[in-house]
Amino acid sequence: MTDQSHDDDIVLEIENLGISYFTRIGEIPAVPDFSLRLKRGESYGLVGESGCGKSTVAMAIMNYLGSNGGIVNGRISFEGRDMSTMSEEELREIRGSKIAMVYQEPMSALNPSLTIGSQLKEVLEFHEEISSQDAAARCVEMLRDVNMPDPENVMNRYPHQISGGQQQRVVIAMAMLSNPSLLLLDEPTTALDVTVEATVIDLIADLRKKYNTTLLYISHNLGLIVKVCDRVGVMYSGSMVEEGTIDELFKQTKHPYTFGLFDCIPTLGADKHARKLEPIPGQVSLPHERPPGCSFGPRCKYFKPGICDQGHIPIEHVDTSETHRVRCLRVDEIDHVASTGAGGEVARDEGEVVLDIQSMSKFYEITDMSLAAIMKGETRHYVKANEHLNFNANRGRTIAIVGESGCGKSTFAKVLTGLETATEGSIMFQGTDIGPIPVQKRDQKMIRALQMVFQNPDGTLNPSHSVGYCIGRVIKKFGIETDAAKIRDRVGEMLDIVRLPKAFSTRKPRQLSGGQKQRIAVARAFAGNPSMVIADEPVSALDVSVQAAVINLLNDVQKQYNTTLLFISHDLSVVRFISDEIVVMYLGQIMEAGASDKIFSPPYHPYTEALLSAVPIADPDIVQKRIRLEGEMPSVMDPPTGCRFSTRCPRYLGKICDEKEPENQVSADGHIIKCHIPLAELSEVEPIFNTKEAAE
Amino acid sequence: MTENTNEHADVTETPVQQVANPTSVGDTVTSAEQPDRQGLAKLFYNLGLLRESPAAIIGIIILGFWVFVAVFAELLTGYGPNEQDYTAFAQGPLSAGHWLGTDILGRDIWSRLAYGARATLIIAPTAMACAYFLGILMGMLAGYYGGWIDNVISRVSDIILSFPLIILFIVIISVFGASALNIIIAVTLAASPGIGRIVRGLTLDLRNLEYVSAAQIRGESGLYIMIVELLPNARGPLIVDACLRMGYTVITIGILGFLGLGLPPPDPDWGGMVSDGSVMVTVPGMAYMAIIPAIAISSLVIGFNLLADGLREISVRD
Repeated sequence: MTDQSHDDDIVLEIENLGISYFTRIGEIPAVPDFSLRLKRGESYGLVGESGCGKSTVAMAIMNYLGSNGGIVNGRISFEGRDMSTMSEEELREIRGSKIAMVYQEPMSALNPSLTIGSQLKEVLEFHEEISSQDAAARCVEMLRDVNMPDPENVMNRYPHQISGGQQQRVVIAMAMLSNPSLLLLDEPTTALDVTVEATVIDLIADLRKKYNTTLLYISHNLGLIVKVCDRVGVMYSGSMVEEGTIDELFKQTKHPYTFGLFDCIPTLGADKHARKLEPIPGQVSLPHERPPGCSFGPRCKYFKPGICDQGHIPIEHVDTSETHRVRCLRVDEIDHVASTGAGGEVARDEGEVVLDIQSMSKFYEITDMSLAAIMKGETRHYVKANEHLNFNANRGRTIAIVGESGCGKSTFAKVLTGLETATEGSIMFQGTDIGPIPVQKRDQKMIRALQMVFQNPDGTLNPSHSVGYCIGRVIKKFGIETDAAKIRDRVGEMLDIVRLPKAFSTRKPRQLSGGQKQRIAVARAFAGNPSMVIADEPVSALDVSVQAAVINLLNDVQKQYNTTLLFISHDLSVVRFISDEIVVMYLGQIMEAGASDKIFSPPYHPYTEALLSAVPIADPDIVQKRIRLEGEMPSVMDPPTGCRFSTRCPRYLGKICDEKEPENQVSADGHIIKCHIPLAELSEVEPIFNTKEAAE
Repeated sequence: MTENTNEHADVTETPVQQVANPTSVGDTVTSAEQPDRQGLAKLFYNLGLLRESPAAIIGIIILGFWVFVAVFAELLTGYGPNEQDYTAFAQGPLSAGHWLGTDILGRDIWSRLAYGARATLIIAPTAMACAYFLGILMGMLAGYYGGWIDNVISRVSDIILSFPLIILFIVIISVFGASALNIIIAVTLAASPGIGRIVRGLTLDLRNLEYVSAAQIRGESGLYIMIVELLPNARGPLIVDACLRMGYTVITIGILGFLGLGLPPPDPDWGGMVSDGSVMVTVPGMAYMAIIPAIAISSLVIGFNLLADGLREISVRD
């Protein structure tokens, strides 16, 4: 903090930057006024929901605004030089050597037809006079720096031959190769699994220390920002609304939008019974329809006509702080109290068992007709997508299934809904074994009782059909109403339940926002009054404020219909909030299952422990134990023989883990752990989450 | 209380996508401003979008001209198509009473063109409609069900596609005889495997989307999913493809006519007119007999192609 006065230490300075796009309908001011100053070696986080202009700013710094975008006022200076005065040649020289960028999708950032080695070397050979051997040596060294196993070998491979986490490491290595002074990271871990994300985040922090690089870290996830950054800026609708150090922003929050973001995020300590999430009402206004005055005005609880809707609102320093700035006129009058209102009655009596799964397995058969396989007589392989799953679900409860991609959670949903059939075991649903019955053979009553909400809001509704048709079809199909007028009334009721106006029934999906589409999907799933609904990652594609609204909605509708909800997710903080019970899956097997508060405290299964320690938490006061998983998740084609988790387990015991599949142990608080380590020992593990004071 | 208002305030959401993507900004805005249009109003609105494509406008003008000529052929011509003017054999264009001239039999070329346009514009769309019906059926079944159904349909398609088209036509027409119906049958058989392939590809893309799973989960039949869920979403590329194919079909009909496999003489047929005129091509001043109908064929083909280009431009933009 002491080096603040040295002006030559400023790497990037953006002053009153205005960026517009020029389209058919005229000029669209994507970013009206944006200022930012980054010092050498600093790590700065830029947060905000989609559409707030974060990526546009990053693209402007790289000068990649495209043919119809341009800087209309203000300036960007890099290391003291105004970038608008530089020639194309100079800019090209700077990009890649002084300023580098890491994108969200590693697979699309790498060229699939070139080896990793040649792509890495190209960076050096373009920017420096260097021989091919020297370049290769430096690349290998860099790959070692990003903790790539066996770097010499990786140099000769193609991008598709390494995993997603490793691809992102290569992209980071490529960006760091010429030792840039500024590294832009645009959602670098959003496409990765949590445990991989945690290792990549650690890596970025280490590299930054080692090379003293300035980071501009763009993310929608406040939890990651806490881990990586010193300072944070919150963007809303193209402007910075609040910025400050992590502590200032999280503990002395000033701007209503920042409060709003915090209130949307489920915190680890609370579940749906303790607290209700509070979504920010409304949506970001379109860039060319921004209201006069404060752009957050229409969504702000503290909005005062006559003050907030007049003229330009400047960003000003808070009290005496050098770093904390906020763009709000009423900052001294606002005294925000986080919502504490209980979300509903505490856990009800357990209803009857709706779903009882006994040793259910789903294997996919794969025929390998390669010569080697035929010689060995092993032409048939089985992919064990689900193996001996056991659990049950009671009426009105929420059961979450968590696990990383490839753990078999979506296969499980397919078997339940009848898109696939179980290979072994039984799934008793309302007294019938539905495991072996595909959906075409199920009777209407059974189909009606089990419906699903999907992940992707853009794929879940047919773009050719109106909202009314889409909900009405379910009502008609399930024979709830047959008369056209009555169907229309019922569609109206369903829209009411998901809190959308009745007029929406004539709209087409393209006229709806992501959150609205997901609400329609909820209405569609519940229209037939099912006894169980499976929700496969229903909120992971949504912005936090919309996510909060959809979670609340799911909770409310579930309560109203007393439906069992099977919530499939990889986001542990959401899962902790919404679910009564949690099932943790790894490579097709259940590792741990039990009541959700029990899962979050010891004894932990070693895998659960690693997962929990990887969850990004948006609270600088919470210290997490740091457990990082080594290696890659084994392929489902060829899983480890003993315990599925043995290859990556940080608490690996030895031979027994490789050879013998562990038994389920039932702990004192009634939850199941599949591990060889005795329960007593697992119980002594210290909790993952601690407050800062407790840790010291 | 506050919670309640918050929840309800949510409904004022307007569609917003990423500002980072400039094109999506413009497009979202137009879709937000579009009031709900139903039926004909919507059709006219969408056709109105074609204004912005010069290619489409030229295409529509050319096609409009030929449709007009075909519909009002009786009013626009002074002679019947097969009527011979024994006073004027092989008169060049702009001769008295015959502004495009007459052929060696003294028939008015303009009249024959106009009635020929009628034949072409009836046969080509009808053949296309049949080909699309068959092609969509094949493609949907193959793409949606996959497995052995896909194998059988795809192999049959391959066999037809691997046949030289001309030989196929000659075989069909020489077996069944030359008539409008047989031309339609030949074109349908030849075009539907290609259409089936396109539809199969589109179906493969669409069938893994979540709304299809949602339909399967609520127990919809395969037929319902194919017709109601999948087909409407495949329509964009299919409409463009249909326009292009219509052009090819016009050429095909021309070729058939030229080879004498078109409409039986003396009925006017553009391909047949080129063929009749071609004997005179080498005679000085007589080439117009072949050139004029050839221009008619290519203008119609170009018209369809330009319209297809315009449609594609618009579908890519939105």
